[in-house]
Amino acid sequence: MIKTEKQRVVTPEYLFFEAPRTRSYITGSEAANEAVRRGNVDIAIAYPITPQSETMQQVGELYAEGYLRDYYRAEDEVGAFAAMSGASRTGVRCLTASSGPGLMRGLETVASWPGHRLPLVFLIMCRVINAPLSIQPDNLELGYMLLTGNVVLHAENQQDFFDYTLAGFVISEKCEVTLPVAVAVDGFFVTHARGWVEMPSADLKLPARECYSEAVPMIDNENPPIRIARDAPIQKSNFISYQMHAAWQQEIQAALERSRQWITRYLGGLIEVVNPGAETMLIASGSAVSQSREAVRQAEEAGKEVGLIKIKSLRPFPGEELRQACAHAKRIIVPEFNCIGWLNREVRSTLYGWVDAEIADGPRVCGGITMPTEMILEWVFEGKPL
Amino acid sequence: MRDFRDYLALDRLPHMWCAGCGHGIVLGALARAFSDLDLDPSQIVVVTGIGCWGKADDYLRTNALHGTHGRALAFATGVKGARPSLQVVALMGDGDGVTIGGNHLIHAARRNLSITGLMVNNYNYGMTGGQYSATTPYGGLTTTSREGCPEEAFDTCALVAAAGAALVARTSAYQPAQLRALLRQALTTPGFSFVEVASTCPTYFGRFNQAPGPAEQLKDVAASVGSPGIVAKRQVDDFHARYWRIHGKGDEHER
Ligand SMILES: Cc1ncc(C[n+]2csc(CCOP(=O)(O)OP(=O)(O)O)c2C)c(N)n1
Ligand code: SF4
Repeated sequence: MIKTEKQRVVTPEYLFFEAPRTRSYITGSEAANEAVRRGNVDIAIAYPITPQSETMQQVGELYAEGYLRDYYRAEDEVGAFAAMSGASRTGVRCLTASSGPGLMRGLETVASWPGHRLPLVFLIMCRVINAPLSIQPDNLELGYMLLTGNVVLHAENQQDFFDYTLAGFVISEKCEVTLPVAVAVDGFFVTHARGWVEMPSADLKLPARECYSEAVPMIDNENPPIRIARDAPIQKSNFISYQMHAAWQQEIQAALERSRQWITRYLGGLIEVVNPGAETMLIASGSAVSQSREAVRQAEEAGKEVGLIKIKSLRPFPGEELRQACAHAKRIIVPEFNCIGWLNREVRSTLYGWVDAEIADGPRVCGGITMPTEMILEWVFEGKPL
Repeated sequence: MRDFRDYLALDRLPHMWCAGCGHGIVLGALARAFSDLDLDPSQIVVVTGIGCWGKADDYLRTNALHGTHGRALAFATGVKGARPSLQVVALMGDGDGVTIGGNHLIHAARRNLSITGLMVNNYNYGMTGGQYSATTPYGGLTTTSREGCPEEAFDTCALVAAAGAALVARTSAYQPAQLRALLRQALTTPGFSFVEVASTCPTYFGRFNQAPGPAEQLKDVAASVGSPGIVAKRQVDDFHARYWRIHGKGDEHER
C-alpha cells in the first residue's frame, strides 16, 4: 500500500509543542489510533486479544485509508513479535500491541528485542494473566515487562496514551536509544472509556524513520548484535565470550539510561509531582494515578494535605527524582492495580537508605476491580499496616 | 558470475560443527545454489533459529538475522513483509522447524509469502545433546528416549504440502547435487518453498541408531528418504500478489 499524501511531514518538536491542538472526547483505543495516524507508521503486525483488539482493528482501518504501508495479522503473539523483529531490522517504523496473556506468550521475543536493538512501539493494554480466565484490567504483566530491557511508559489516561504513543516512535528511534518502547495503559478503564484528548491536526505526521542514523546498521552480518552471536569465541564458554555479552547488555542498560533525556523532553519528565511539600505521599502509575488524584482532593477537603507522585516511566525508573521528591515525606503509600505490588518493590528498593519515611505495603486491587478512593483514604487516615 | 565461495565467509572457517556432521554439506549446496542463480548477496537475508544448523548463517556473506529457537520463519515473515524485494531464506533444524516452530511452519505454508524454508532433519536435537524431536522415528534411541522414542514422527513434507506451500521437496545430504538443484528451484518459486534435507548427526542420533561412521550414516539417511525429489508443487499467487490485489494496488514490488 502506498501511503497517503494527505499529510504534511513536520518535526517532532513542531508536532508535540507548537502545532495548535483541538480537543476530542474519545476512548483510549481511539487516542492510540490517532497517535498512529500521525506517527507515519510503516507496518503493524499483531494478534487479537481483548482489550487490545479494538485498537488494532482501528489501525486496520487506518491502513485501508492509506496511513500505513502494511498491516498483517500473525499466527500468534510469538509470530507477531518475531515478525516485528524482522520488520524493524529492515529499517521501517513498526507497531504492535497486546494484552496480558498475549504479552506473556510473546515474552520470549519481547525480551530479545532490546538486544537486537530494535526501534518499535509496543502498546500494552493491561489485562489479567492468572487463572481463572478473565479479560478484566489488572496490570500484573507489567511486573514482567520491567525485566526485559524495553523502555516502559505507563499512561494514566487517554491523553497520555496519545502523547506517549506518538513520542514513543521518536524516543525509540533516537540514535543513542535504539530500543523498543512499550506504552502500557490499564485495559478498559482507559481503552474503552472516553476522555478529553488534545491533538494536533491529523494533516500532520512525524518524519519517516531514518534507520541509517541509528545505533546499529540494518540486517548486517558484520556488526553487532549479530556479529556477537556469530563470532567463534562467543560460542565458547570463555572469558572473551562473557565479556562481549556483558558489554552488550551493559550497553542496553546504558541506552535505557540515555532515553531519560528524551522522555524528559517529550513527556515533560519521568514523574509529575502534586503537593510536593506534603508529609504523606502517594506514588502511583497508570489508572491508579487518577484514583490517587481524586483521593488527594478528598483528603484536602477533609483538611489534610496529601502529595502525589505520578510515575510516567517505569523503565528507566525515576530513582533520583523519587529520592528528591520523597526527601521530606513521613509516610509513603503506593496504590496499585495488581496483587503482587511490583511498583511497591521498585519504590522500596529505590528509597531504601535514602529516606526516613515509612512505606506502606499497599493498597492493592486486582482481578479488574477499580480502586475506590475511600480505600486510598483509609490508608491515608487510618494508617493501614506498614 | 559469482563463485559459490563469494557467498561463504571463508575467514570464519573452520566451522563449529562436529567432524562428519551433515550440516556442512547442506551449507555447500546452498552457497552453490546461490551462485547458480548469481544472486546478489546484499539482497539475500538468511534467517536462522537456534540449533547447530542455526549457526549456518555464521559462515555466509549475506545479510543475516539470528532469531530465537523455532522462530526463524516468524522473523522471516517480518523481513519479507516489510521488504518484499529481498530474497529471504529461513534455515531450520527439525527441532527449530517442525517441533517448537511447527505453528509458524504451517502458517508460513498457508500464507505463501515467497520465503524458502530449508530444514535439515537430523532426527534429533543436536545442539542440546541429542534429545528426541518431532521427526525422531518411533523406537529411535535418543538421550530422552533411552529405550526408544514412543511417539510417531511427523511427515513434515506432507504437513507442509497439506498446509498449502507452493513447492515441497525432500532429499538427503548424500545427494548434494540434487539438493543444489532443488534449492535453485525453491529459490525461484513464487510462494512458500520448503526443502527438507535428511542429514546426519554422528555425535548423537547417528551414534545411537545408525551404521558406525559418518560416511555410512549418510547412506542410512539417504535410504530413509525413500524417493527424493519434488513432493508437491502447486501454482500459487504468492502472498504479496494476493495482498496487493485485494487492496487494489497491483504489483508494487519495488518500494
Ligand atoms: C525457547 C527455547 N527452548 C529451548 C531452547 C534450547 N535449544 C537450543 S537448540 C535446540 C534444538 C536444536 O535442534 P534442531 O533444531 O533439530 O537443530 P540441530 O541442533 O539438530 O541442528 C533446543 C531445544 C532454546 N534455545 N530456546
Ligand atoms: S551435535 Fe550433531 S548436529 Fe550438532 S554439530 Fe554435532 S553432529 Fe552436527
